[in-house]
Amino acid sequence: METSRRILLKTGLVTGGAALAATPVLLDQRPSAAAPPTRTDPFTLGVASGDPLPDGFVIWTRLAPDPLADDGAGGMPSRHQQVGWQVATDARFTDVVRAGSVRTGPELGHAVHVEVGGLLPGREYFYRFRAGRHLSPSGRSVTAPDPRSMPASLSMAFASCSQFEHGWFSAYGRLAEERPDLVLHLGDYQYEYKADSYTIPGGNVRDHRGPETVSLAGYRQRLAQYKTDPDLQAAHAAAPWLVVFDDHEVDNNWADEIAENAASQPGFMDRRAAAFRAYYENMPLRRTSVPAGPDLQLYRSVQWGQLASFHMLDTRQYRDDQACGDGYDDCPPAAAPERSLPGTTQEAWLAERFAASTQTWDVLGQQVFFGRRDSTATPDNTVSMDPWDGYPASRDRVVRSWVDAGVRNPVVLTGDVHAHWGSDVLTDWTDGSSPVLGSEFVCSSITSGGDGYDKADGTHPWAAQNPNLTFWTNLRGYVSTTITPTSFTADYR
Amino acid sequence: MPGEQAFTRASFVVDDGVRGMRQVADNPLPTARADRSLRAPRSDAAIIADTIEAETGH
Repeated sequence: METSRRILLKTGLVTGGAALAATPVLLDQRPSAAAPPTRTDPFTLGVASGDPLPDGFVIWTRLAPDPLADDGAGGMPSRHQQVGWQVATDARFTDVVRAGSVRTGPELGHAVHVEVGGLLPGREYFYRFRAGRHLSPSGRSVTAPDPRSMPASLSMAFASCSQFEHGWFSAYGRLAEERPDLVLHLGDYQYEYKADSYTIPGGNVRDHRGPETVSLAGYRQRLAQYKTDPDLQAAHAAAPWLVVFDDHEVDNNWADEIAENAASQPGFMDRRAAAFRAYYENMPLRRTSVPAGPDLQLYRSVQWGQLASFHMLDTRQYRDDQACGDGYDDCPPAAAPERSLPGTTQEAWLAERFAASTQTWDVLGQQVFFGRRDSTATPDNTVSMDPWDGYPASRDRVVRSWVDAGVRNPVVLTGDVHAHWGSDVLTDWTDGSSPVLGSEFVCSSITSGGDGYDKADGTHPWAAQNPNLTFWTNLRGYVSTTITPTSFTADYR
Repeated sequence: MPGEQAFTRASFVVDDGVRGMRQVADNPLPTARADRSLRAPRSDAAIIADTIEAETGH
Protein backbone atom coordinates (compact mmCIF):
# COMPACT_ATOMS: atom_id res chain seq x y z
CA MET A 1 0.00 0.00 0.00
CA GLU A 2 2.99 2.31 0.32
CA THR A 3 3.25 2.75 -3.44
CA SER A 4 -0.46 3.45 -3.65
CA ARG A 5 -0.22 5.93 -0.82
CA ARG A 6 2.56 7.83 -2.54
CA ILE A 7 0.55 7.95 -5.76
CA LEU A 8 -2.44 9.23 -3.84
CA LEU A 9 -0.44 12.03 -2.27
CA LYS A 10 1.43 12.86 -5.45
CA THR A 11 -1.50 13.03 -7.84
CA GLY A 12 -4.20 14.39 -5.62
CA LEU A 13 -6.69 13.00 -8.10
CA VAL A 14 -8.52 10.69 -5.79
CA THR A 15 -12.21 11.26 -5.40
CA GLY A 16 -14.11 9.95 -2.47
CA GLY A 17 -17.20 7.78 -2.31
CA ALA A 18 -20.59 9.31 -2.74
CA ALA A 19 -22.67 9.96 0.31
CA LEU A 20 -26.38 9.49 0.53
CA ALA A 21 -28.46 12.18 2.10
CA ALA A 22 -27.63 12.30 5.76
CA THR A 23 -29.68 9.82 7.70
CA PRO A 24 -29.63 9.54 11.48
CA VAL A 25 -28.07 6.26 12.53
CA LEU A 26 -29.78 4.87 15.59
CA LEU A 27 -27.71 3.26 18.27
CA ASP A 28 -27.11 -0.28 17.08
CA GLN A 29 -28.31 -2.84 19.62
CA ARG A 30 -27.44 -5.87 17.55
CA PRO A 31 -24.80 -8.29 18.82
CA SER A 32 -22.85 -7.65 15.64
CA ALA A 33 -22.40 -4.02 16.65
CA ALA A 34 -19.45 -4.89 18.83
CA ALA A 35 -17.87 -7.39 16.46
CA PRO A 36 -14.69 -6.55 14.56
CA PRO A 37 -15.81 -5.42 11.11
CA THR A 38 -13.48 -7.54 9.04
CA ARG A 39 -13.06 -10.81 10.91
CA THR A 40 -14.64 -12.66 7.98
CA ASP A 41 -14.40 -11.85 4.28
CA PRO A 42 -16.64 -8.84 3.61
CA PHE A 43 -16.36 -9.08 -0.20
CA THR A 44 -19.06 -11.70 -0.71
CA LEU A 45 -20.95 -9.54 -3.21
CA GLY A 46 -18.08 -9.09 -5.65
CA VAL A 47 -17.07 -5.88 -7.38
CA ALA A 48 -18.41 -3.83 -10.26
CA SER A 49 -17.70 -0.80 -12.41
CA GLY A 50 -19.89 1.44 -14.48
CA ASP A 51 -20.70 4.68 -16.29
CA PRO A 52 -17.35 5.04 -18.08
CA LEU A 53 -16.07 8.43 -19.16
CA PRO A 54 -12.91 9.12 -21.17
CA ASP A 55 -10.98 9.73 -17.94
CA GLY A 56 -12.49 7.17 -15.61
CA PHE A 57 -15.40 5.14 -14.31
CA VAL A 58 -17.19 4.26 -11.09
CA ILE A 59 -15.89 1.31 -9.10
CA TRP A 60 -18.19 -0.36 -6.60
CA THR A 61 -18.30 -2.89 -3.84
CA ARG A 62 -20.38 -3.43 -0.71
CA LEU A 63 -19.17 -4.97 2.52
CA ALA A 64 -21.32 -7.93 3.57
CA PRO A 65 -19.65 -10.74 5.53
CA ASP A 66 -23.14 -12.21 6.12
CA PRO A 67 -24.88 -11.22 2.88
CA LEU A 68 -28.25 -12.84 3.63
CA ALA A 69 -28.72 -11.34 7.08
CA ASP A 70 -32.42 -10.63 7.58
CA ASP A 71 -31.80 -7.05 8.69
CA GLY A 72 -30.28 -6.24 5.31
CA ALA A 73 -27.07 -5.03 6.91
CA GLY A 74 -25.04 -7.85 5.44
CA GLY A 75 -23.57 -8.76 8.81
CA MET A 76 -21.79 -5.42 9.14
CA PRO A 77 -21.73 -3.58 12.44
CA SER A 78 -23.04 -0.04 12.64
CA ARG A 79 -19.58 1.48 12.80
CA HIS A 80 -17.87 3.09 9.83
CA GLN A 81 -14.98 1.51 8.02
CA GLN A 82 -12.20 2.63 5.71
CA VAL A 83 -11.94 0.75 2.44
CA GLY A 84 -8.86 1.03 0.27
CA TRP A 85 -8.96 0.83 -3.50
CA GLN A 86 -6.51 0.53 -6.36
CA VAL A 87 -6.68 0.90 -10.13
CA ALA A 88 -3.90 -0.63 -12.21
CA THR A 89 -3.06 -1.07 -15.85
CA ASP A 90 -2.45 -4.79 -15.39
CA ALA A 91 -4.35 -7.66 -13.81
CA ARG A 92 -1.48 -8.38 -11.41
CA PHE A 93 -1.49 -4.82 -10.05
CA THR A 94 2.20 -4.26 -10.70
CA ASP A 95 1.40 -0.85 -12.24
CA VAL A 96 -1.04 0.88 -9.88
CA VAL A 97 -1.98 4.26 -11.34
CA ARG A 98 -4.65 5.44 -8.93
CA ALA A 99 -5.41 4.50 -5.34
CA GLY A 100 -7.13 5.82 -2.29
CA SER A 101 -9.30 5.10 0.70
CA VAL A 102 -12.93 5.91 1.35
CA ARG A 103 -15.15 5.71 4.40
CA THR A 104 -18.39 3.77 4.34
CA GLY A 105 -20.96 2.95 6.94
CA PRO A 106 -24.48 1.78 7.70
CA GLU A 107 -26.11 4.86 6.18
CA LEU A 108 -24.64 3.67 2.85
CA GLY A 109 -25.44 0.00 3.41
CA HIS A 110 -21.66 -0.27 3.68
CA ALA A 111 -21.49 0.29 -0.07
CA VAL A 112 -18.47 1.89 -1.70
CA HIS A 113 -18.72 4.04 -4.82
CA VAL A 114 -15.52 5.65 -6.08
CA GLU A 115 -15.59 7.90 -9.13
CA VAL A 116 -12.11 7.28 -10.43
CA GLY A 117 -10.66 10.05 -12.61
CA GLY A 118 -7.38 10.92 -14.22
CA LEU A 119 -7.20 7.82 -16.42
CA LEU A 120 -6.41 7.63 -20.11
CA PRO A 121 -9.22 7.30 -22.65
CA GLY A 122 -9.95 4.06 -24.43
CA ARG A 123 -7.87 1.91 -22.08
CA GLU A 124 -8.37 -1.27 -20.10
CA TYR A 125 -7.84 -1.10 -16.34
CA PHE A 126 -8.15 -3.39 -13.33
CA TYR A 127 -9.37 -2.50 -9.85
CA ARG A 128 -9.76 -4.01 -6.40
CA PHE A 129 -10.55 -3.08 -2.80
CA ARG A 130 -9.10 -3.82 0.61
CA ALA A 131 -10.90 -3.87 3.97
CA GLY A 132 -8.68 -4.70 6.89
CA ARG A 133 -6.73 -7.79 5.91
CA HIS A 134 -9.24 -8.81 3.25
CA LEU A 135 -8.62 -8.20 -0.44
CA SER A 136 -11.54 -8.20 -2.86
CA PRO A 137 -11.66 -10.02 -6.17
CA SER A 138 -10.35 -7.82 -8.95
CA GLY A 139 -12.48 -6.40 -11.73
CA ARG A 140 -11.78 -5.26 -15.27
CA SER A 141 -13.03 -1.95 -16.58
CA VAL A 142 -12.59 0.22 -19.64
CA THR A 143 -12.55 3.98 -20.11
CA ALA A 144 -14.57 5.52 -22.92
CA PRO A 145 -12.55 6.61 -25.95
CA ASP A 146 -11.44 10.17 -26.56
CA PRO A 147 -14.58 12.12 -27.55
CA ARG A 148 -12.98 13.18 -30.86
CA SER A 149 -11.80 9.70 -31.85
CA MET A 150 -13.48 7.11 -34.01
CA PRO A 151 -12.89 3.67 -32.44
CA ALA A 152 -12.50 0.82 -34.89
CA SER A 153 -14.89 -1.36 -32.94
CA LEU A 154 -16.85 -1.75 -29.71
CA SER A 155 -17.91 -5.05 -28.18
CA MET A 156 -21.09 -4.44 -26.19
CA ALA A 157 -23.55 -6.92 -24.69
CA PHE A 158 -26.97 -6.23 -23.25
CA ALA A 159 -29.17 -8.25 -20.92
CA SER A 160 -32.26 -8.07 -18.71
CA CYS A 161 -34.64 -10.05 -16.54
CA SER A 162 -32.78 -12.35 -14.15
CA GLN A 163 -35.32 -13.92 -11.80
CA PHE A 164 -33.09 -15.68 -9.24
CA GLU A 165 -35.57 -18.48 -8.57
CA HIS A 166 -36.15 -19.35 -12.24
CA GLY A 167 -32.72 -20.64 -13.11
CA TRP A 168 -28.97 -20.51 -12.81
CA PHE A 169 -27.27 -17.38 -14.08
CA SER A 170 -25.24 -19.31 -16.68
CA ALA A 171 -26.03 -16.70 -19.32
CA TYR A 172 -24.31 -14.05 -17.18
CA GLY A 173 -21.35 -16.42 -16.99
CA ARG A 174 -21.19 -16.81 -20.76
CA LEU A 175 -21.51 -13.05 -21.21
CA ALA A 176 -18.55 -12.59 -18.84
CA GLU A 177 -16.43 -15.01 -20.86
CA GLU A 178 -16.85 -12.79 -23.92
CA ARG A 179 -15.13 -9.94 -22.05
CA PRO A 180 -17.11 -7.19 -23.77
CA ASP A 181 -15.96 -3.61 -23.34
CA LEU A 182 -19.39 -2.49 -22.19
CA VAL A 183 -22.54 -4.12 -20.78
CA LEU A 184 -26.00 -2.55 -20.78
CA HIS A 185 -28.44 -3.92 -18.22
CA LEU A 186 -31.97 -2.94 -19.20
CA GLY A 187 -33.80 -3.78 -16.01
CA ASP A 188 -35.48 -6.46 -13.92
CA TYR A 189 -32.09 -7.14 -12.40
CA GLN A 190 -33.92 -8.46 -9.35
CA TYR A 191 -37.48 -9.45 -8.51
CA GLU A 192 -39.48 -8.38 -5.51
CA TYR A 193 -41.52 -11.52 -4.89
CA LYS A 194 -41.38 -13.77 -1.86
CA ALA A 195 -40.27 -17.34 -2.47
CA ASP A 196 -42.39 -19.43 -4.80
CA SER A 197 -44.97 -16.76 -5.59
CA TYR A 198 -43.68 -16.56 -9.20
CA THR A 199 -43.11 -20.11 -10.35
CA ILE A 200 -42.15 -21.76 -13.62
CA PRO A 201 -43.23 -25.07 -15.17
CA GLY A 202 -41.27 -27.81 -13.46
CA GLY A 203 -40.74 -25.70 -10.35
CA ASN A 204 -38.25 -23.02 -9.35
CA VAL A 205 -34.63 -24.09 -8.98
CA ARG A 206 -33.90 -21.97 -5.89
CA ASP A 207 -35.78 -19.68 -3.51
CA HIS A 208 -35.79 -16.02 -2.73
CA ARG A 209 -34.85 -15.21 0.85
CA GLY A 210 -37.32 -13.19 2.87
CA PRO A 211 -40.80 -11.82 2.21
CA GLU A 212 -41.80 -9.64 -0.75
CA THR A 213 -39.48 -6.67 -0.70
CA VAL A 214 -41.12 -3.51 0.60
CA SER A 215 -38.56 -2.14 3.09
CA LEU A 216 -34.98 -0.95 2.83
CA ALA A 217 -33.82 -4.02 4.75
CA GLY A 218 -35.74 -6.27 2.39
CA TYR A 219 -34.40 -4.70 -0.81
CA ARG A 220 -30.86 -4.74 0.59
CA GLN A 221 -31.15 -8.40 1.49
CA ARG A 222 -32.65 -9.34 -1.89
CA LEU A 223 -30.02 -7.50 -3.91
CA ALA A 224 -27.34 -9.10 -1.76
CA GLN A 225 -28.80 -12.53 -2.44
CA TYR A 226 -28.62 -11.94 -6.18
CA LYS A 227 -25.11 -10.60 -5.94
CA THR A 228 -23.84 -13.73 -4.21
CA ASP A 229 -24.29 -15.56 -7.52
CA PRO A 230 -20.83 -16.27 -9.00
CA ASP A 231 -21.95 -15.87 -12.63
CA LEU A 232 -23.46 -12.46 -11.92
CA GLN A 233 -20.30 -11.47 -10.07
CA ALA A 234 -18.22 -12.59 -13.06
CA ALA A 235 -20.33 -10.50 -15.43
CA HIS A 236 -19.92 -7.41 -13.27
CA ALA A 237 -16.18 -7.99 -12.94
CA ALA A 238 -15.73 -8.41 -16.71
CA ALA A 239 -16.70 -4.94 -17.94
CA PRO A 240 -18.23 -1.58 -17.01
CA TRP A 241 -22.04 -1.61 -16.93
CA LEU A 242 -24.66 0.99 -17.78
CA VAL A 243 -27.65 0.06 -15.65
CA VAL A 244 -31.27 1.16 -15.68
CA PHE A 245 -34.09 -0.27 -13.62
CA ASP A 246 -37.45 -1.44 -14.91
CA ASP A 247 -40.39 -2.42 -12.71
CA HIS A 248 -39.29 -5.38 -10.61
CA GLU A 249 -36.55 -3.47 -8.87
CA VAL A 250 -39.50 -1.82 -7.10
CA ASP A 251 -42.89 -3.46 -7.80
CA ASN A 252 -44.47 -5.18 -10.80
CA ASN A 253 -45.65 -2.65 -13.43
CA TRP A 254 -45.45 0.38 -11.14
CA ALA A 255 -46.01 3.71 -12.85
CA ASP A 256 -44.61 6.90 -11.32
CA GLU A 257 -46.36 7.20 -7.95
CA ILE A 258 -48.76 4.31 -8.58
CA ALA A 259 -48.15 0.78 -7.35
CA GLU A 260 -49.33 -2.30 -9.22
CA ASN A 261 -52.07 -2.73 -6.63
CA ALA A 262 -52.50 0.89 -5.66
CA ALA A 263 -55.45 0.39 -3.32
CA SER A 264 -53.48 -1.98 -1.11
CA GLN A 265 -50.29 0.08 -1.06
CA PRO A 266 -51.01 3.54 0.36
CA GLY A 267 -47.35 3.93 1.30
CA PHE A 268 -45.96 3.21 -2.12
CA MET A 269 -43.66 6.24 -2.21
CA ASP A 270 -41.94 5.00 0.95
CA ARG A 271 -41.48 1.67 -0.77
CA ARG A 272 -40.13 3.38 -3.88
CA ALA A 273 -37.67 5.36 -1.77
CA ALA A 274 -36.44 2.18 -0.07
CA ALA A 275 -36.06 0.40 -3.39
CA PHE A 276 -34.19 3.31 -4.98
CA ARG A 277 -31.83 3.65 -2.06
CA ALA A 278 -30.98 -0.07 -2.12
CA TYR A 279 -30.64 0.05 -5.91
CA TYR A 280 -28.15 2.90 -5.75
CA GLU A 281 -26.24 1.19 -2.97
CA ASN A 282 -25.86 -1.96 -5.05
CA MET A 283 -25.10 -0.52 -8.49
CA PRO A 284 -22.02 1.18 -9.99
CA LEU A 285 -23.78 4.52 -10.45
CA ARG A 286 -22.35 8.03 -10.22
CA ARG A 287 -23.27 10.40 -7.41
CA THR A 288 -25.68 12.13 -9.80
CA SER A 289 -27.90 9.10 -9.16
CA VAL A 290 -27.85 9.29 -5.38
CA PRO A 291 -31.56 9.15 -4.58
CA ALA A 292 -33.37 11.97 -2.84
CA GLY A 293 -36.15 10.13 -1.07
CA PRO A 294 -38.41 8.61 -3.73
CA ASP A 295 -36.58 10.30 -6.63
CA LEU A 296 -33.54 8.98 -8.49
CA GLN A 297 -31.95 10.57 -11.56
CA LEU A 298 -31.40 7.58 -13.84
CA TYR A 299 -31.60 8.76 -17.44
CA ARG A 300 -28.30 9.86 -18.90
CA SER A 301 -26.14 9.63 -22.03
CA VAL A 302 -22.71 8.06 -22.37
CA GLN A 303 -20.56 8.74 -25.44
CA TRP A 304 -18.20 6.22 -26.97
CA GLY A 305 -15.99 8.54 -28.98
CA GLN A 306 -17.56 9.42 -32.30
CA LEU A 307 -18.77 5.85 -32.69
CA ALA A 308 -21.86 5.74 -30.50
CA SER A 309 -24.04 7.56 -28.00
CA PHE A 310 -25.89 5.46 -25.46
CA HIS A 311 -29.04 7.17 -24.22
CA MET A 312 -30.13 5.27 -21.13
CA LEU A 313 -33.80 5.89 -20.43
CA ASP A 314 -36.07 5.74 -17.38
CA THR A 315 -39.48 4.50 -18.53
CA ARG A 316 -40.99 4.00 -15.04
CA GLN A 317 -40.47 7.01 -12.86
CA TYR A 318 -42.27 9.67 -14.92
CA ARG A 319 -44.84 7.73 -16.94
CA ASP A 320 -48.56 8.19 -17.03
CA ASP A 321 -50.45 5.26 -15.55
CA GLN A 322 -51.13 2.32 -17.82
CA ALA A 323 -54.43 2.90 -19.62
CA CYS A 324 -57.51 0.72 -19.33
CA GLY A 325 -56.27 -1.05 -16.24
CA ASP A 326 -53.07 -2.41 -17.84
CA GLY A 327 -52.82 -5.80 -19.58
CA TYR A 328 -53.60 -6.37 -23.27
CA ASP A 329 -56.51 -4.28 -24.49
CA ASP A 330 -58.01 -2.42 -27.44
CA CYS A 331 -57.93 0.91 -25.64
CA PRO A 332 -58.42 4.16 -27.60
CA PRO A 333 -57.72 6.37 -24.52
CA ALA A 334 -54.14 5.07 -24.57
CA ALA A 335 -53.56 7.14 -27.71
CA ALA A 336 -54.29 10.48 -26.01
CA PRO A 337 -51.60 12.87 -27.20
CA GLU A 338 -50.78 14.16 -23.72
CA ARG A 339 -49.83 10.72 -22.44
CA SER A 340 -46.12 10.02 -22.12
CA LEU A 341 -43.99 7.02 -21.24
CA PRO A 342 -40.70 8.76 -20.37
CA GLY A 343 -42.44 11.96 -19.29
CA THR A 344 -42.34 15.26 -21.14
CA THR A 345 -39.10 16.44 -19.53
CA GLN A 346 -37.24 13.28 -20.50
CA GLU A 347 -38.75 13.37 -23.98
CA ALA A 348 -37.38 16.91 -24.40
CA TRP A 349 -33.98 15.86 -23.00
CA LEU A 350 -33.82 12.98 -25.47
CA ALA A 351 -34.71 15.26 -28.39
CA GLU A 352 -31.86 17.55 -27.31
CA ARG A 353 -29.47 14.61 -27.17
CA PHE A 354 -30.48 13.58 -30.69
CA ALA A 355 -30.00 17.13 -31.94
CA ALA A 356 -26.57 17.39 -30.34
CA SER A 357 -25.33 13.96 -31.43
CA THR A 358 -22.40 13.69 -33.80
CA GLN A 359 -21.96 9.97 -33.31
CA THR A 360 -22.44 7.33 -36.01
CA TRP A 361 -24.85 5.28 -33.86
CA ASP A 362 -27.47 6.66 -31.47
CA VAL A 363 -28.49 3.80 -29.20
CA LEU A 364 -31.47 3.89 -26.86
CA GLY A 365 -30.88 1.62 -23.86
CA GLN A 366 -34.36 1.20 -22.45
CA GLN A 367 -36.74 -1.22 -20.87
CA VAL A 368 -39.99 -1.93 -22.72
CA PHE A 369 -40.97 -3.02 -26.23
CA PHE A 370 -40.79 -0.08 -28.63
CA GLY A 371 -42.40 -1.53 -31.76
CA ARG A 372 -46.05 -2.29 -32.29
CA ARG A 373 -47.34 -5.76 -31.51
CA ASP A 374 -51.02 -6.19 -32.23
CA SER A 375 -51.97 -9.43 -30.52
CA THR A 376 -54.95 -10.25 -32.74
CA ALA A 377 -55.52 -10.58 -36.47
CA THR A 378 -58.79 -8.68 -36.19
CA PRO A 379 -59.12 -5.01 -37.25
CA ASP A 380 -58.91 -3.74 -33.68
CA ASN A 381 -55.68 -2.77 -31.94
CA THR A 382 -55.27 -5.11 -28.98
CA VAL A 383 -51.84 -4.32 -27.61
CA SER A 384 -50.05 -4.36 -24.29
CA MET A 385 -50.70 -1.27 -22.18
CA ASP A 386 -47.37 -1.33 -20.33
CA PRO A 387 -44.82 -0.76 -23.14
CA TRP A 388 -44.72 1.94 -25.83
CA ASP A 389 -47.82 0.40 -27.48
CA GLY A 390 -49.74 1.84 -24.54
CA TYR A 391 -48.28 5.31 -25.24
CA PRO A 392 -48.30 5.59 -29.06
CA ALA A 393 -48.28 9.42 -29.17
CA SER A 394 -45.19 9.46 -26.98
CA ARG A 395 -43.54 6.88 -29.25
CA ASP A 396 -44.37 8.98 -32.29
CA ARG A 397 -42.75 12.03 -30.69
CA VAL A 398 -39.54 10.12 -29.92
CA VAL A 399 -39.31 8.80 -33.48
CA ARG A 400 -40.10 12.24 -34.88
CA SER A 401 -37.35 13.76 -32.74
CA TRP A 402 -34.68 11.46 -34.16
CA VAL A 403 -35.98 11.95 -37.70
CA ASP A 404 -36.07 15.75 -37.30
CA ALA A 405 -32.57 15.73 -35.78
CA GLY A 406 -31.22 13.78 -38.73
CA VAL A 407 -29.89 11.00 -36.51
CA ARG A 408 -27.66 8.92 -38.74
CA ASN A 409 -28.38 5.46 -37.31
CA PRO A 410 -31.02 5.07 -34.57
CA VAL A 411 -31.01 1.73 -32.75
CA VAL A 412 -33.37 0.81 -29.89
CA LEU A 413 -32.34 -1.82 -27.34
CA THR A 414 -35.02 -3.40 -25.17
CA GLY A 415 -35.49 -5.94 -22.36
CA ASP A 416 -38.56 -6.88 -20.29
CA VAL A 417 -40.38 -9.48 -22.40
CA HIS A 418 -38.40 -12.68 -21.69
CA ALA A 419 -37.78 -13.52 -25.35
CA HIS A 420 -35.46 -12.46 -28.15
CA TRP A 421 -37.20 -10.28 -30.72
CA GLY A 422 -36.20 -8.16 -33.69
CA SER A 423 -38.32 -5.29 -34.96
CA ASP A 424 -38.10 -2.57 -37.57
CA VAL A 425 -39.36 0.87 -36.63
CA LEU A 426 -41.78 1.53 -39.49
CA THR A 427 -43.32 4.76 -40.73
CA ASP A 428 -46.63 2.89 -40.79
CA TRP A 429 -46.72 -0.04 -38.39
CA THR A 430 -49.38 -1.78 -40.46
CA ASP A 431 -47.55 -1.48 -43.78
CA GLY A 432 -44.44 -3.58 -44.20
CA SER A 433 -43.51 -1.67 -47.35
CA SER A 434 -43.45 1.69 -45.57
CA PRO A 435 -40.07 3.31 -44.95
CA VAL A 436 -38.01 1.96 -42.08
CA LEU A 437 -37.00 4.62 -39.55
CA GLY A 438 -34.83 2.56 -37.19
CA SER A 439 -34.10 -0.87 -35.75
CA GLU A 440 -35.00 -2.49 -32.45
CA PHE A 441 -33.16 -5.41 -30.86
CA VAL A 442 -34.85 -7.04 -27.86
CA CYS A 443 -32.92 -9.33 -25.54
CA SER A 444 -34.43 -12.37 -23.90
CA SER A 445 -34.24 -12.97 -20.17
CA ILE A 446 -31.23 -14.33 -18.36
CA THR A 447 -33.55 -16.71 -16.48
CA SER A 448 -37.05 -15.24 -16.13
CA GLY A 449 -39.70 -17.63 -17.36
CA GLY A 450 -37.45 -20.64 -16.92
CA ASP A 451 -36.47 -23.11 -19.58
CA GLY A 452 -37.52 -21.89 -23.00
CA TYR A 453 -38.00 -23.26 -26.48
CA ASP A 454 -37.20 -22.41 -30.06
CA LYS A 455 -39.17 -22.24 -33.30
CA ALA A 456 -37.23 -23.21 -36.39
CA ASP A 457 -38.39 -20.37 -38.61
CA GLY A 458 -37.68 -17.72 -35.93
CA THR A 459 -41.06 -16.04 -36.28
CA HIS A 460 -43.66 -15.31 -33.66
CA PRO A 461 -47.28 -15.90 -34.66
CA TRP A 462 -47.93 -12.17 -34.27
CA ALA A 463 -45.59 -11.46 -37.20
CA ALA A 464 -48.55 -12.27 -39.47
CA GLN A 465 -50.26 -8.99 -38.53
CA ASN A 466 -47.20 -7.00 -37.44
CA PRO A 467 -44.88 -6.56 -40.44
CA ASN A 468 -42.27 -4.86 -38.26
CA LEU A 469 -41.46 -8.09 -36.40
CA THR A 470 -38.36 -9.70 -37.92
CA PHE A 471 -37.32 -12.36 -35.41
CA TRP A 472 -38.35 -14.19 -32.26
CA THR A 473 -37.18 -17.08 -30.11
CA ASN A 474 -38.15 -18.06 -26.60
CA LEU A 475 -34.69 -19.18 -25.49
CA ARG A 476 -32.93 -17.61 -22.52
CA GLY A 477 -29.82 -15.50 -23.05
CA TYR A 478 -28.47 -12.09 -23.94
CA VAL A 479 -27.47 -10.15 -27.06
CA SER A 480 -23.85 -9.61 -27.99
CA THR A 481 -23.16 -6.72 -30.34
CA THR A 482 -20.22 -5.53 -32.40
CA ILE A 483 -20.39 -1.86 -33.33
CA THR A 484 -18.08 -0.42 -35.97
CA PRO A 485 -18.17 2.77 -38.05
CA THR A 486 -19.81 0.80 -40.86
CA SER A 487 -22.12 -1.68 -39.16
CA PHE A 488 -24.04 -2.69 -36.02
CA THR A 489 -24.14 -6.48 -35.60
CA ALA A 490 -26.42 -8.15 -33.04
CA ASP A 491 -25.85 -11.80 -32.13
CA TYR A 492 -28.77 -13.33 -30.25
CA ARG A 493 -26.98 -15.61 -27.76
CA MET B 1 -28.43 -25.67 -16.32
CA PRO B 2 -25.19 -24.63 -14.62
CA GLY B 3 -22.40 -24.50 -17.16
CA GLU B 4 -24.77 -24.47 -20.12
CA GLN B 5 -22.94 -23.29 -23.21
CA ALA B 6 -24.03 -20.34 -25.31
CA PHE B 7 -24.57 -20.35 -29.05
CA THR B 8 -25.64 -17.74 -31.56
CA ARG B 9 -29.26 -18.43 -32.46
CA ALA B 10 -29.38 -15.66 -35.08
CA SER B 11 -27.44 -12.59 -36.15
CA PHE B 12 -28.67 -9.37 -37.72
CA VAL B 13 -26.72 -6.46 -39.16
CA VAL B 14 -27.62 -2.81 -39.63
CA ASP B 15 -25.33 -1.07 -42.09
CA ASP B 16 -24.30 2.54 -41.61
CA GLY B 17 -26.73 4.87 -43.31
CA VAL B 18 -29.11 2.06 -44.24
CA ARG B 19 -32.48 1.73 -42.50
CA GLY B 20 -33.49 -1.78 -41.54
CA MET B 21 -31.75 -4.98 -40.45
CA ARG B 22 -30.63 -7.94 -42.49
CA GLN B 23 -30.19 -11.44 -41.14
CA VAL B 24 -26.72 -12.91 -41.57
CA ALA B 25 -26.90 -16.05 -39.40
CA ASP B 26 -29.70 -18.47 -38.54
CA ASN B 27 -29.08 -21.45 -36.26
CA PRO B 28 -32.33 -22.99 -35.03
CA LEU B 29 -32.01 -25.17 -31.97
CA PRO B 30 -31.57 -28.77 -33.14
CA THR B 31 -34.79 -30.68 -32.74
CA ALA B 32 -33.21 -33.37 -30.60
CA ARG B 33 -32.02 -30.74 -28.17
CA ALA B 34 -35.28 -28.85 -28.27
CA ASP B 35 -37.15 -32.02 -27.42
CA ARG B 36 -35.19 -32.31 -24.18
CA SER B 37 -36.57 -28.99 -23.07
CA LEU B 38 -39.09 -28.99 -20.27
CA ARG B 39 -41.13 -26.80 -22.60
CA ALA B 40 -40.88 -28.36 -26.05
CA PRO B 41 -41.90 -26.43 -29.19
CA ARG B 42 -45.48 -25.29 -28.92
CA SER B 43 -48.48 -24.53 -31.10
CA ASP B 44 -49.08 -20.94 -32.22
CA ALA B 45 -51.88 -20.63 -29.68
CA ALA B 46 -49.64 -21.86 -26.90
CA ILE B 47 -46.84 -19.50 -27.95
CA ILE B 48 -49.24 -16.56 -27.82
CA ALA B 49 -50.54 -17.66 -24.43
CA ASP B 50 -46.98 -17.97 -23.14
CA THR B 51 -46.10 -14.53 -24.48
CA ILE B 52 -49.05 -12.80 -22.86
CA GLU B 53 -48.55 -14.66 -19.58
CA ALA B 54 -44.87 -13.70 -19.45
CA GLU B 55 -45.63 -10.04 -20.09
CA THR B 56 -48.73 -9.50 -18.00
CA GLY B 57 -48.52 -12.04 -15.19
CA HIS B 58 -45.27 -10.59 -13.97
